[in-house]
Amino acid sequence: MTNNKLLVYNTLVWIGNIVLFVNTLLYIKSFGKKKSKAFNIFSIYLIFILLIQLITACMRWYKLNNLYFSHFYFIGQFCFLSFFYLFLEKKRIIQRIIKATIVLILVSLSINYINNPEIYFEYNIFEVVITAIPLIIYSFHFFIKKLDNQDKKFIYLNSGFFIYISCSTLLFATGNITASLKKFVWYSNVILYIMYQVLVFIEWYKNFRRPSKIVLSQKNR
Amino acid sequence: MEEFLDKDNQVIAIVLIGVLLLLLMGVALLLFFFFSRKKIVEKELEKKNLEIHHQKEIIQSIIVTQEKERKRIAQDLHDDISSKLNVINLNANLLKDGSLKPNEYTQVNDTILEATDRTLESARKIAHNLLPPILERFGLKEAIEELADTFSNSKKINIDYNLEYPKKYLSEQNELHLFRVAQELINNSIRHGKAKKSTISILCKNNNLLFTYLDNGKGFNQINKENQKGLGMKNIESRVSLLNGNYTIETQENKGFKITIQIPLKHENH
Repeated sequence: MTNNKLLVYNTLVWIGNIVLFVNTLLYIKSFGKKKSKAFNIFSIYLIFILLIQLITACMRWYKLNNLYFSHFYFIGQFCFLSFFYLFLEKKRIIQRIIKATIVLILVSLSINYINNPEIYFEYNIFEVVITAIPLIIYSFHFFIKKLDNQDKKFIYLNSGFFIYISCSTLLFATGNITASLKKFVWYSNVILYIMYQVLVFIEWYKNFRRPSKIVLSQKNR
Repeated sequence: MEEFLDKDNQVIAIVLIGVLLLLLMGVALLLFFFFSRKKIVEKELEKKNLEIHHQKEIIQSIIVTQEKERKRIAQDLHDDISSKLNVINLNANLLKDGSLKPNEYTQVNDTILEATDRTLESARKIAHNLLPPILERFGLKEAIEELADTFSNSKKINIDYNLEYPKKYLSEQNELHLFRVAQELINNSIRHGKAKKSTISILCKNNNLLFTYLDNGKGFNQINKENQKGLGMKNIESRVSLLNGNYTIETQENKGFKITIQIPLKHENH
């Protein structure tokens, strides 16, 4: 990439990081006040993502290889968001399915890493896909649940996540290919990521900004 | 151009197109979701509003009935009791004056006695109308029988009954509701239906109480909205809903009137 284009890309990445940082602060501010496990786990997920972003940015600064951090990112995202959807679920059967899926996928990934320890320092497409598919299914299931429900909590967040995870999984699947068009992949990804974070912000703004007032106005309607 | 023909670049291009399509589909899915959700929530709201409206109507009818009943009681008290007490008062004053001949004295005395008797009788009747003591003492079956007999004796309407009602099948409160329904139905038959004959039957079958009332009066056109929900009918409806029951009405103009009320037992047996 030429210097000029690299600058545009870096600006986009930092816009994404700044929105993520703001979101993390806002979610920490409301942490615990909502008495909702799902909200708390999502706040922790945001902190986790922010930490990974900062660490990888530092490592890039010092020109270190930060590729193996992608494993933490994908597996961490899978675990946190699985628990997020687990806490939002009220049906026993689906809770059990989510728990079983977490165990199953962690076990299969461990087997994968034990068999080929060298892929730890590579980009793992198997990991990207296997951690994304359950999340896409949970997210879609969440939409179906909310279809005839007046409760709007987490709808915006889920919309953003649904679009981001389904598109980015396909983008990340090209991770091992090196080609001149590759830059467009990262552009698309960072734009989708900004969209996702903006929707996370909208979620906080609409549903969690003020703790009790929203509940009251819903009752009065 | 050569760059674009590179194999890896082709894969990337396909992926980018795929992402674009996924994005479009995702957005379409979200739009579909939000629009159908909005519609479904609107429908639910509409349903709830209808329910609230219906409940409001019932409450209103209860209040109107209450006021009507108060007016009736006031009228009864004024017409029957007060006027007779007035007579007694006047006659007692005559006695107090003491300037009466012996035969006049006896006459005044007789008037007072007669008036007190009639007042007592009126008071008893008013109290009886408000809450028949027989219902509390002997139960629903006897109360309805007495009610039917009273109406039959008055020659306004001839009421047959067939009551297979085991004692204490319903709670006391619910017996009163059903009794009021029967009262209201008979009143309707006389006042609106001009019926000459009617039948009341109660059957208890399969944990269900089946109350049927039938008359040979004018009936009404069910399609005509004016007829559909008079105060009396609303009253019956609210009482049936308090009994957790449901009712069906069969009627046509000049072809009599029939109502069937079904009350499930399970709400009673606690």
